[in-house]
Amino acid sequence: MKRNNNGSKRGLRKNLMNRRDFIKTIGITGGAALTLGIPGSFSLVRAAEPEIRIGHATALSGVFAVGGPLLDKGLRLAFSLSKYKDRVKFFLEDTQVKAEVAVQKALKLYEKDKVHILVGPIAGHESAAVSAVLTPMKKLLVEAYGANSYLVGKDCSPYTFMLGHTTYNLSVPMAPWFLKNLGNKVFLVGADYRTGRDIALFFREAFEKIGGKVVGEFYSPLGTTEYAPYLSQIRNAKEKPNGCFGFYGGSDCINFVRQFEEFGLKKDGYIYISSIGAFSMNVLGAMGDAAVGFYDCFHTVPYMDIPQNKTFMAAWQKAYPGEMIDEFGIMGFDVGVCLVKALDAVGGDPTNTEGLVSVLHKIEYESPRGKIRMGPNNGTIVPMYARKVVKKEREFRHEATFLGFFGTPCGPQYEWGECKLGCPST
Amino acid sequence: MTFSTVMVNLLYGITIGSAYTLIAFGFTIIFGVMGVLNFAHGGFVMLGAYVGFTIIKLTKNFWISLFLAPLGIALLGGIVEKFLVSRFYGKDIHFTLFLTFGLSMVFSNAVLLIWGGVPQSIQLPYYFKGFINLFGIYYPKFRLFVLVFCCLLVSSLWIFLTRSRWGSVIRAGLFDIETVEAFGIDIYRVFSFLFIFCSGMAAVAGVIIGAMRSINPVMDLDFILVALSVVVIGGLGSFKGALIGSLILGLAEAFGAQAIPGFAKFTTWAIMVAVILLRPKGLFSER
Repeated sequence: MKRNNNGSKRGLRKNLMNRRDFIKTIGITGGAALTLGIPGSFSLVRAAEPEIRIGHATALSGVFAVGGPLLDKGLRLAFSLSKYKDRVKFFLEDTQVKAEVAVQKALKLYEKDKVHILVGPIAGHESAAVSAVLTPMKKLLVEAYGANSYLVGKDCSPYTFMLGHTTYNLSVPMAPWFLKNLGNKVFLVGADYRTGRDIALFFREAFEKIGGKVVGEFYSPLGTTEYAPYLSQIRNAKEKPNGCFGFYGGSDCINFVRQFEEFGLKKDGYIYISSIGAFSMNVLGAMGDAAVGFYDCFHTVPYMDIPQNKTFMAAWQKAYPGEMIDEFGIMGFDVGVCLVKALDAVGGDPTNTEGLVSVLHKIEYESPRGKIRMGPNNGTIVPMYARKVVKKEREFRHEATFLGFFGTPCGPQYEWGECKLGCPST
Repeated sequence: MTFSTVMVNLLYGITIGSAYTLIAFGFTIIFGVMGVLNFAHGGFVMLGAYVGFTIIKLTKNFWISLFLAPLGIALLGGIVEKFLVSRFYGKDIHFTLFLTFGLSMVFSNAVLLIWGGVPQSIQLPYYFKGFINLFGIYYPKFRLFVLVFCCLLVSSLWIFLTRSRWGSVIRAGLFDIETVEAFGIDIYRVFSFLFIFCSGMAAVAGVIIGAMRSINPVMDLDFILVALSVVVIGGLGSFKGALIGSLILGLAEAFGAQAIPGFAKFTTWAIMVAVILLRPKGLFSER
């Protein structure tokens, strides 16, 4: 080893900083930094408003694979137009339209991603499962679709809000409209599963109460591709119905409507009226002219001529050029508008869950759908429309007739029971 | 059930059954001769429908679509056979089962990626719209076309299989491949030809069924189920079985839906169970 002048190892170390000097230096530097610079940074962080973390658990695969991404686009668009556009951060997860997956994703979003608000899944069974898990945790769930009547009945929760619809409020309003515009004889049809059966049941009850008559009915298995044998039952009904009412969704609806025309029912004056907005923009092209002249019932009308919708359409076309405006996109935007308004009311603080809950419970807002109001059972009271499919300049559109404002009532007389938060009258 | 209802269901059942024949034929022959349980067969039907849909959108011509889509899918079938399926000839059947099952998922996701999840449908030319009065029954023109077209195609296939040299080779292959090879016939060329041909046939079915129904990225499952049902009813590797099985399936769907609407699909399953119990090898099994 090369030695220094005094020939010792200690001499070498003398020129180096010893531990005490090191601690002293760090202490002085740190103290100075804390005094001069870092507190400035700290105060800046304190002043910066916290991030708004929004989780979106929706269907990116499965039967709603089309709807989920559009809902998400609408949601992001609403926030991009708000003052929170630079603070908001979205976390998107695929629920695969499976209840157990939806619950896992909801928990992941809240526990790992630390979201403040969860925009919930599409299907009713997913919504119920997620709400049941999140309610005891006092976590917020806002549903864009989630058509589950129990969530506005006995399973309602102060932390779960349904902005969409239920099978009840998408069928009952059509009964008086049918009687007034088409006649008093109906043939009920539908896919043979809970939603299809409920739609027919609620319509039948309301229709018969006002003097209507059901002249026949059938329910074909979900996923039926050939309707010819069923359609001949409509033709063979003892009395010719003034219209056929019921619900088929997606591919089932396309097949049913196309074959309804193909087998000559439309030509012979039969008409089909659907529920749950089955004639949505994204399937009209596949139905072609077969759907023209038919009706459905929904709370959203793309291309509707009201100022809020015009603003939305302009924003959508600017953000997503060339993409068709459809019901899912509008609903996503609607949820965004509602959340922005709720955040405004709590001073933009997304961590104030209880504040958001109390604001959402009484919220009223204007959206592309029209005027929306939260009912006491945390289900929205929405404008409902009878939509006629028309073709204008080679484009399919809806001609809407306003039916009134409808929520979902609850109480012991209904299967879904009474909501402890309260029940709307309509 | 009135006479006209019976006739409508009969016609409808035969029409849809004849379209099923095009699917079932390929599935059963590939299985019977090549020993490949082709789970991607429904995928070829689906791709045929989607390619046909795109060609019609571009050319506005149904006939071009009916010609080009099967051609394109046959080419794809050739590629799949050459580079994937052929590697597993002579090996355990499970290898090709898993391979084709994986392929079917690739096809579904490719469709989702390229065409999206929105259901589509093939629009018909104006002259196929409307009805024809058949003995007092109004029957859609296009369904009648499907019936005639499929009958012609199936008849041609029948003649090909029973009268041509290649048909003899295929039929011989159903029983004993080694003997066929012993005659100096390159059986792997036969395999390639069969796979290409059956993929093309599946695409023909895809285009015509896509014009009657909506098309979507999960429709392949329906068709593979149809093919499996036909094989169970008609028998493995039997052309006659594919034909009769398809017709039974079509008629069971039609009359089942008419008689017991809520249990329409039950009719098909009931027939399948009956066949399995009474003739486990199917009605016309050739093996």
